[in-house]
Amino acid sequence: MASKPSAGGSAPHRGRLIYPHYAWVIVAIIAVMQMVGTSIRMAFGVFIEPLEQAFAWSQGSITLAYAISSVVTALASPFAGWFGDRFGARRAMTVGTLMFLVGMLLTGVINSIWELYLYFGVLLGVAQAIFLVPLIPAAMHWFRRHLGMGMGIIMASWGLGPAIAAPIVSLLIERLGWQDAFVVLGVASAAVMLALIVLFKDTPADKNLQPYGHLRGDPETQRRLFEPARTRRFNRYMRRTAAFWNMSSIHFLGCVGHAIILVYIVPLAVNAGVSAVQAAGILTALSAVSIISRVAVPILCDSVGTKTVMAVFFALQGVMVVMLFWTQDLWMFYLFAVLFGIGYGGETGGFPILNRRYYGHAPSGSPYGIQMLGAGLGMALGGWIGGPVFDMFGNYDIALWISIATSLLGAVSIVFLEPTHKLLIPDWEKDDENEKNEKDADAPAAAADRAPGSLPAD
Amino acid sequence: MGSRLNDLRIFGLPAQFVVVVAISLALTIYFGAYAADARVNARAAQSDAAIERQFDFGASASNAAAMRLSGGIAQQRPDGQAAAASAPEPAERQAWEYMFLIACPLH
Repeated sequence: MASKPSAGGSAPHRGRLIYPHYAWVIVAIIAVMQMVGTSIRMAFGVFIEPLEQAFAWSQGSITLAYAISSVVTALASPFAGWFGDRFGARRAMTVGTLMFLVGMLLTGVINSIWELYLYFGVLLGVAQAIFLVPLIPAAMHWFRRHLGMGMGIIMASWGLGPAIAAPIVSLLIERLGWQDAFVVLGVASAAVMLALIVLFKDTPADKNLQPYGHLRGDPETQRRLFEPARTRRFNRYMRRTAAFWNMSSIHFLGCVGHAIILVYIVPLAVNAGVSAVQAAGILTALSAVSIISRVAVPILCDSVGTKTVMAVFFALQGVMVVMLFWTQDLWMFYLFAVLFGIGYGGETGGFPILNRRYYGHAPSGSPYGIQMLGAGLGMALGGWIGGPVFDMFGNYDIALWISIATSLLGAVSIVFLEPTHKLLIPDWEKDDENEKNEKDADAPAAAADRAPGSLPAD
Repeated sequence: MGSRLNDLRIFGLPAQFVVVVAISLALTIYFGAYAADARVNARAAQSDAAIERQFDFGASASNAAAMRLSGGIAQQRPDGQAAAASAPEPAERQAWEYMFLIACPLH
């Protein structure tokens, strides 16, 4: 719900919903960083044929690099989240950019398949985890209120990235060849990202500002990032909450649900008699429509209610797949793309808002990293499982049922999450202070007990 | 009811999370084992077909089909070991195939 300004609210915005603030610069930087940093994986498909021609590798061997990269990104996500909490997003972005540059340059000079797996799969996979995970909690530092608007813009970049990356990379390969394309893309992307990092600030306090939506009476923004010991303490409390684990499994379910469709909608449409080019257009339409809900869902979560909105979009993603059991004509596939795209686009955007509702302004890199681990593993499982299903049954029906079931199960799981009107661990800092004080109080008595000839303990 | 469900734990983890992980692992192992089994059987069938082709070729090239069939083979491949070595062996299972087939009780 949009907050109403208190009497005599902060001068800069006087209760306005949208006003000039450096938070929007931060949002723009993060959106561009994520688009640029993940572009290479979005456009991986255009490299398959050139690599096949250059080395006579099988398509299966080449696409394994993509799978390795996806799994590595998933597994590296919790570490990336911790890194952002510990050292700040600015340092994380710098490390990620350098890894990206090195990975791209090395991939441009590969001579063997294992080098492709190592440089593209592992090195770039870790870099992409750094671009995907710590930047979201970093954006959260900048919004005291109206976080949904900032998240909406960032999430939209996830839908724009694939649409923009593939044509640009295709053009580079055509003009320069695949090796020089990797080099040029790596150097140009790194230059853009390093320039953006110069403008980036970890917290509003770094620019002597209050967060967006700050009102008189709100706690002051910390100048320093969270202290390591404080982050460790929060993580200890956070792992005891059911929501920490359940949000990861919910994200996993949602990603299984849409990964099956993203990977198999094209062969499914081709089997129904649609041409390959038209089938590719279905996927493009689906991605384009998803941008709308990517922007809208975080805003709706803020104003309507996070659990309600997330459950609705998860259910929409699942229910729409039922259409595919009788869809044969091209126009029906495009209708499916529009309806499914709305649900699919809204699947991810609510998680940062949910983290804010449950954990407030605590360090959120680690919980978000665990959620992205679930998401990555879901994408990997969903992207793979359709293959053996088709081999076993000669059609994708069972895979479609799995997609429906996982999305709906995710919606039900969201309903059973804890209520979002109060923090899950509101007193974690106070509880820890009490624990610390109790330990300090016990320490002198315990020391006296241990000393020879001391007074007996109470 | 949501609160009671969230309090339910299995091995110290939320029951909902454990159930999702268990079902996902079961699906992955089952389909992975199916894929591994199919690959192993396909390679075995290819290997058998190759062996049959090799023996058929040997019989027709010897010019003494029925009489020297076994001897002909012996002449072309004097010792059994050479004959065995030249016939293609069934392909060994790859490590991941072996792991999936061991893990899945249905394959």
